[in-house]
Amino acid sequence: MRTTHRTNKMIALLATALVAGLFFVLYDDFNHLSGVQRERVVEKQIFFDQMVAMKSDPLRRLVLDYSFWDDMVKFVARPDPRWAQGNIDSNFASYQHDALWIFRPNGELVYSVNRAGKGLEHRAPFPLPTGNMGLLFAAKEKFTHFFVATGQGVMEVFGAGIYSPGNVERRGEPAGFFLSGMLWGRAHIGELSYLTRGVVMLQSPEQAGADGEWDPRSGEISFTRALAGIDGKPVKTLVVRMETPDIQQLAREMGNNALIGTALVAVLAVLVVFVLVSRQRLRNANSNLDAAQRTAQLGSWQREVERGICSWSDNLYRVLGLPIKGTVPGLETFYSLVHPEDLSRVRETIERSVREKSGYEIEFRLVRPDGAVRTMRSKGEACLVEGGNTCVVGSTQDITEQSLMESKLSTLIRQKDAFIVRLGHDLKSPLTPLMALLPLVRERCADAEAARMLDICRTSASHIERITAKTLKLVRFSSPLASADLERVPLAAVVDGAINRYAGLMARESIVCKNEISPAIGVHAVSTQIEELFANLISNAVHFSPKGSVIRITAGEDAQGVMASVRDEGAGLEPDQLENIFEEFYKEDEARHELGRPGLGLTICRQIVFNHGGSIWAESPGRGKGTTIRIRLPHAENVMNIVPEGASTCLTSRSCSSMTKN
Amino acid sequence: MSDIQVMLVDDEELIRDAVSFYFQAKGFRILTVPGGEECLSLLEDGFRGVILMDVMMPRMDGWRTIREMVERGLHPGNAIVMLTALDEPDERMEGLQEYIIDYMTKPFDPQALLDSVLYYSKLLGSGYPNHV
Repeated sequence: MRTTHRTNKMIALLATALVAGLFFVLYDDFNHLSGVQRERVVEKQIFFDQMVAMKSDPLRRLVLDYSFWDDMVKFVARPDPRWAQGNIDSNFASYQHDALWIFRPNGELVYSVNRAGKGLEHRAPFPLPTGNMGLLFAAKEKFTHFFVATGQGVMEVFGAGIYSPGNVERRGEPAGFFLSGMLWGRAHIGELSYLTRGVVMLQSPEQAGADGEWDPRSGEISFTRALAGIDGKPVKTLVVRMETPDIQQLAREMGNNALIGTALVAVLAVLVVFVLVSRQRLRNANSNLDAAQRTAQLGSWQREVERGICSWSDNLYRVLGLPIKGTVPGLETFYSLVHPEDLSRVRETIERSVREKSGYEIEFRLVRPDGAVRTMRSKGEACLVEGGNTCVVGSTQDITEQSLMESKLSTLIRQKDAFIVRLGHDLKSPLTPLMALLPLVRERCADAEAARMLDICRTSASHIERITAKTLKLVRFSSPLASADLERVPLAAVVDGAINRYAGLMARESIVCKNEISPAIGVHAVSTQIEELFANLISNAVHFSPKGSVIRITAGEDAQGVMASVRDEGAGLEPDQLENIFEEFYKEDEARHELGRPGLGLTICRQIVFNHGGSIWAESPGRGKGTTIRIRLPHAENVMNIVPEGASTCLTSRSCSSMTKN
Repeated sequence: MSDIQVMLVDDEELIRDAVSFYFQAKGFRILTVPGGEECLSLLEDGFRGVILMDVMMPRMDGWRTIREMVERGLHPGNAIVMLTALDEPDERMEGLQEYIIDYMTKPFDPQALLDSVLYYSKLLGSGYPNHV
């Protein structure tokens, strides 16, 4: 069928709207966050810069808060001989005279370290400018020791380091570098002051490193600045992290939005995948259907009568020999292809189906646009749909090859039947002299052994005769009945006729056959066939009955038809034999070597019953317990296998598929 | 019986011989001819009696022979028994049923055939067929 892409468009539209909405929400979030972030960075940058500036200018800050420096203290012993450096750390706290530097006016530095009470002294020349010993000293308040500067170029420093002797010339005025950690500007000789616990040398702030960076994961802004000593070499890197609660909040919100968006996108993706998979499955199913229709040379269609809307399967176009593109599917298009001789019949059938809201099946010829004449079988069913409209659904199949085959098969079956008939005739003719002369020869034969041999010959000839006769009967009964052949057959009378055929045999065997059928019961049938049917059943029953037993034939009638049964007290049947006994040449083991019984009697019975649209089956309680053969023959109006007058014979009526018990 | 004649019309020599043998063995005489033309010429010559007529024969089959017989007015005084290997009457006998007294299928029981012949001979002796 032709399908629209409405679903596709809907999905595409929905997906676009959702993605666009999500994009705008996230974009807005991002913009807002970026704005706030920029503001915060600027704010924090200012703060940081102030901090760095402050740390770079300890002299300004120290007076305010010494402890500010504690985190910054880091003394590193330098090998540079021009520097004298004392490391002030925790050890320092426990010694009163931990280190001592003495700068002599001659430029000599006496460096003394006292560790663990063990004095060490080191002397080194130190180019200390003379006459400028406005030296520095400082001590943290916790130190009990004071420093004394002599003013003679000798400074005693306790717990401090001297870094830049050049600075002494500019005491009180920091100029980019300084002797950090010492109270500059108060270094007057004889004065005492505090010294911070550490010394930090920093370059000027403008040489600092990168600006603040925002870490989206932690929500912090971090500032990093490389801190260098007076010589320009890095001393340490200052990293300050600052929390930004509002940014973090915004980031959380943005994350939530992103999460919701992602979930929506995921749902959409699942939806899209589901729809795509469904569509693929539908495509596959359609493709399979099309392949199946191609194989079956069948096309399907649907028509809404009132609205005049038709849809055809792709293969219907092929079956009709029409191009898919450019053909308007419709009843008129279809009618235009029907063979002119069949058109009125087809039209009438279809219109009646629509009128009566019923089904139909019709075979007709179709002339394809290329001129090829094909045989088609069309089946349809008209029904009411919502709104009281009529919808016709059905299929059209190209059965050209099939009907050709059926015709060939029919011919073959006819030839086979003709062959059997001819063979039977040809067998019967030579049997005639055999049957005529053998008794004569037998009569004239004095030799007992020869007489016995002649009996065998005669029996065998009889056997051939019986097989031939039964085979011919089976062929004859295989032809479907014409309704003209049917008449009301009084069942009891016909059964009497059949019983009489075996009267002599039954008398010899002391078998009694009771016809208990009411004279009122009749069947709509071919009289000769019904007699043949009961004759075969009685023959069978007699054959398998013990001497002195009784065979009962009964019948009853109901709305559906007549049910008759032939019951004997004979050999009985095993359950697995019940179905088989109706097969051609079937013999149960005991009878297998009996030449006199061709094994066609019940097959003929089955064929006769089938001819009359009935069913036949066997019942037996088991071996040795007798057998009942039951027959159901429908009333005239229920007979399905009768060929109506004037109709050609139907091949399928040969099939015995409806022979099952029902 | 002796004044009632019996004729077997059959193209099969073996059947003709076999039936002759049987009838002779039982003390009866039977004329045998291989086809319809011979049957008709015997009738022209005055044969009257029981005619055992095979249906399927070359040239002129049993039905055509009877038709010819009727057309030439040779049928009165004869009882015709059809012999056939086929099981059932065919459409060619349409309209000829009234001229047929019996129908026997091959291979027939020779004694039954003889019994029939005797029976129909008696019928002929008592004035059968009365429809002509």
